[in-house]
Amino acid sequence: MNVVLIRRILTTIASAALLLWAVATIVFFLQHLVPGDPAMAILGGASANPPEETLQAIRDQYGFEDPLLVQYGAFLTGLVQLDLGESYTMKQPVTAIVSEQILPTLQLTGAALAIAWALAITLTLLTAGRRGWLGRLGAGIEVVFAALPHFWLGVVLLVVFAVVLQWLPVVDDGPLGLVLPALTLGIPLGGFLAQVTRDEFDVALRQPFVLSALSRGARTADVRFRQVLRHAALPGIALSGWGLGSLISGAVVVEVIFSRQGIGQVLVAAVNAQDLPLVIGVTFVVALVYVIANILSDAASVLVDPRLRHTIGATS
Amino acid sequence: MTTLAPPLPEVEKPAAPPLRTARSSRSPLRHLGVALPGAVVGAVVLAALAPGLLAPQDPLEISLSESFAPPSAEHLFGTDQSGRDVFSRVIHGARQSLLIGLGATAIGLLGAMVLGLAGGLGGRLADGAVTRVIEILYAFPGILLALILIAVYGNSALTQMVAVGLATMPGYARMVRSQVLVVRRSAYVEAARTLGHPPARILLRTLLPNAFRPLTVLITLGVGQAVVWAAALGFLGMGVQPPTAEWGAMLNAGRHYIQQAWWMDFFPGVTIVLFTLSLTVLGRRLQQSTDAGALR
Amino acid sequence: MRRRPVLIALAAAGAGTVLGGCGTAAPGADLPPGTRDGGHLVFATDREPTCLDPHNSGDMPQTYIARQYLDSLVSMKVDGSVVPWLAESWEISEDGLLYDFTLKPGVFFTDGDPLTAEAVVANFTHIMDPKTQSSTALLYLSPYFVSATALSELVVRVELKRPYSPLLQVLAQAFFGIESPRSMARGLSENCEGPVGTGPFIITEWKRNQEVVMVRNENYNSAPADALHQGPAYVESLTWRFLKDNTARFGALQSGKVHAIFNLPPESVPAATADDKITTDDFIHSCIPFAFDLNTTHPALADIRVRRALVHAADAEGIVRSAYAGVFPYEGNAISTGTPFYDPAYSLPYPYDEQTANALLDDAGWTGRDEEGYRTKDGQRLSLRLPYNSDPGETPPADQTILQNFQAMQKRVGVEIQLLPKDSASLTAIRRDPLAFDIRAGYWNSPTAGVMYIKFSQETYELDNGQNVSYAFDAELDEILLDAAATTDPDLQQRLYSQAQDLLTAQAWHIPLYPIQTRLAIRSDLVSDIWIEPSEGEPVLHDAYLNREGL
Repeated sequence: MNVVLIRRILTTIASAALLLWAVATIVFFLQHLVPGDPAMAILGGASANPPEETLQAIRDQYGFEDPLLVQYGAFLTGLVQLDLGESYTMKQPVTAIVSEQILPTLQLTGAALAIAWALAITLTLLTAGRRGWLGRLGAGIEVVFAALPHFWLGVVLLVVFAVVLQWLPVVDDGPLGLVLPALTLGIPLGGFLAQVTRDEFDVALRQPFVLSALSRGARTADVRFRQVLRHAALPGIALSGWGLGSLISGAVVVEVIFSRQGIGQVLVAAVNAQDLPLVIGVTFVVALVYVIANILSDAASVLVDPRLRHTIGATS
Repeated sequence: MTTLAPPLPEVEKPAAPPLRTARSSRSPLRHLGVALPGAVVGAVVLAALAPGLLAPQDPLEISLSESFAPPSAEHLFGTDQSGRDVFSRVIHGARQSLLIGLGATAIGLLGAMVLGLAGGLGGRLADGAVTRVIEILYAFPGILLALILIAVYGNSALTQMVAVGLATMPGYARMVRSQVLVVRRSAYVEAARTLGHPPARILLRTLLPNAFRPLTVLITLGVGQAVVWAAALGFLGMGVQPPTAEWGAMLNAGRHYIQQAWWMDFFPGVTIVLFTLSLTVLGRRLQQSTDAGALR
Repeated sequence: MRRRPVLIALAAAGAGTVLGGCGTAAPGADLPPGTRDGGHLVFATDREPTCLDPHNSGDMPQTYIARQYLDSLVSMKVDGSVVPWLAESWEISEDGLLYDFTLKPGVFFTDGDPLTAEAVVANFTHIMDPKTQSSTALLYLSPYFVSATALSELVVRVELKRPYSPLLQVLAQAFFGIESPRSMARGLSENCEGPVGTGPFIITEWKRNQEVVMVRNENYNSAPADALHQGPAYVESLTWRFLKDNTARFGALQSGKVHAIFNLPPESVPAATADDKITTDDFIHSCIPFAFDLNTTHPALADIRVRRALVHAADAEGIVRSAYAGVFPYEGNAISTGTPFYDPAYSLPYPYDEQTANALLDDAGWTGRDEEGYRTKDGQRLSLRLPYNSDPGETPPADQTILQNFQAMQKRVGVEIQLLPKDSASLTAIRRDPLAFDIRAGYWNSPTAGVMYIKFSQETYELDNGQNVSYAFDAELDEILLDAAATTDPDLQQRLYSQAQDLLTAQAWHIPLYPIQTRLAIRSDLVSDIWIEPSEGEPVLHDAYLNREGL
């Protein structure tokens, strides 16, 4: 039994490593398709006027004129040592920038995920499986929530709650400043998760175990909460890893709107400045987070549904 | 950008019964539920095909003395900082947004078909490879891949289209693959095979149509999503550049003036939301009817 | 002195708008009442310099921050007069070629070395050294400078090859801040991280993309004669934060996270005016206004009729009014109202006139029209490329609007303007290549009217460092401006500089739009005595103190 478990863990790690290697390779070669002189990106400033010799020195220093495979080798060697190179514009190791900026982003996405689940569960418990207007209302709300684009929802929330009502600060790096961005990210995902859990909830309600529980005299609310929800939450949990990925992608927009510190903000600026080591570093770290999140959500699924304990290793 | 993404199915979908309380559907409300979104989508398509019919003004024509005019009879959605008519710009923006949305969906689907068919039909090795490729694509969540492509190739409508297309590809590919696998093992194909039909015919006549039928729903949903993603890139200043009318770019410009000219952001935003919402509603309707059809 | 927005490639602006920082408690709240001393001041600005040594490069944000840790030889007052700073006194020879500065005794750099004449000489050498890659300080000096020598421990002699009446005002700028020789000797990249001066604050850390942290120089004894107080700064420490995003910067001020901000966004002016806790302080720079420079290496733009047609068609005044919501004034002259010897006769040289523009273009032979309605000549469309920085931190929304309005206005007379968003690296390359662009937008701040020479002279043209953006010069103009620099007679100067403005206006090498301003917004309930010095509009924080009870 333990051997199976260990083998499963090893397989998971190996395939995760393979995935990360592929991601790194893709971004590396994409970077080298960029036209233009990276030395210029490093030395260019508002009034910069780098002489040719300085440009050449930079090219030598960074090895821009080495054969591509040599550069690839150096890149992979660095990667193994968690060295993602130095940002062209910020003149700091990419690893340092990313590790500093990932925290606020994870805070944001974590809060958003919590909001999304709270929304999904509330909507499901209140309205799923009910006939008539309540069910339809719930379904309608979910569809609308899921269709709201972050960039618009964010701006609307900002204007209503920060500018007009002034209940919350426009920008703030404390917990108050987290409210609006997290809502912006969490509401659409909540709508989406609610759609999924509602579907499952409806299916689960028709399962024999519900009927048998009810016939045993269990209270309806109890059954809804304890058993049906547990069943219904499964696909949602399985999707949470993917959801976290989508949240990080959404964080790019939300951080720009709310001028929040974080990896999305860094990414946008790096893309604007063609700071490719930084772009690559951020991408790589997001892929890493995504892979870890998926492993975790698989594990969470197993916790909620013991039946999966024998199959999960095989499917992912 | 929205989480309306398609990767859910894997979980156990294809034949899940349509929960939406069967067919109590003859009420007038139900009709309205189709007619309204239908009208919205129709209007957007019309705006994209023939913006001149709907737009009262040239979307690029400035009028320096009329900047920041609030909505009025003359300017239904107000004017922007250069005195351009926001309503006309929203109308003209439909073409850009729809073009990018449809183009991206086409690119995503095309790639997905190649991947999905190779995975579903190509045997274990090919399937393993395809699964890996899909996984790798998934590891660039959302607009991340789009941002990398833009960093490399610069801003343009084409980059935007390809980038969004690639971003939607893994979702579709996963769907196609599992669908092909299901259909391949289905009774239809078994029957066709026992009847001795040649493989090419089975592929074209039986397998493909059956595998792609559920996709029509996804496409309806996917176009909406692609439009939203494209607008998100525009919003980040990484798509079509102003003054070209494009919904995302308009939202981006309006964001800075939100305190003095809310209409610059409000109307393009509402348009995007209504459009994607309508596509979602229509898509779900379609899903119910195809599911129902498939069950028969 | 230099330009910011549009064309400007600030590669380092990097990852933007990060709202850095930690402390949320009201700074100074725990300090004893009744004193100005102590506390932590937070100042937020829009753009981050690429290098903290202002000798290198020469971008405005460098001066704003350098003022806090470097002292200059002299200080300039609003009336244009110059008062002692590191130089206690100075003598100018009859012919205007020799300047002998006597330094204040007993001044020390914050690395412990004394301020000596040798140290000042080392600064001039550093600025003139090509390795320093100066593109601003160098341009001020190179046409005139011969040498700097130490006559004694505390006396420096600067020798010029021709008279240069604005020299003192020029030296007042933070671009000429005096650094410790030991600091400069570390080499450019290290010195960029934290140059050492004699100033009121000492850099302790530069968190890129976030903030520069400084502490008070406890031994500060070299404040300029026009400072509000002598001795060390009142506040104990200073955070210079970079908040590129306009909304974020203003929001941080409103919520009291920062005490003052640089560059109050035009779109936030109504909100700032309505808020009685916020006061604003505006200063119009002495400068060549933000303008479209027309590259005369393009055959069409070599024709003065085409250039004048573009100015007539632009409606520059309307463009500025629409983009800056009436907050920024329009300026049509070659130099701003804040510049000495400004001549109001040229403030609106080419009124908006579509007819004249069309007639001029017809006259220049651009009579054909293609299917899109653009003018053609010999089958070639009249199409001009205008690259600009796609980074919104470098090209703020209002400047984007100006670009779009300009494009729309020129379209009306059949001229195509191609707006080309570029990343910073591409722009740096474009700046060196006259064939890569036709129009660029930018400005040039300078405390003297001599800035016209810097931007439009044969000398700058031949330096070929991209500062003569029009790639144009005029022998007569050069002569007038050199004569003006050679005299100290204000009447003669006025006459000569007026002639120069007349000539530049006639040439239409550039289309001026608005004067550059230092626009501070200050939480006056939290902090007092932040002022703006006039040579470069640098905010001065040495006199600032946090408000608390008992004062």
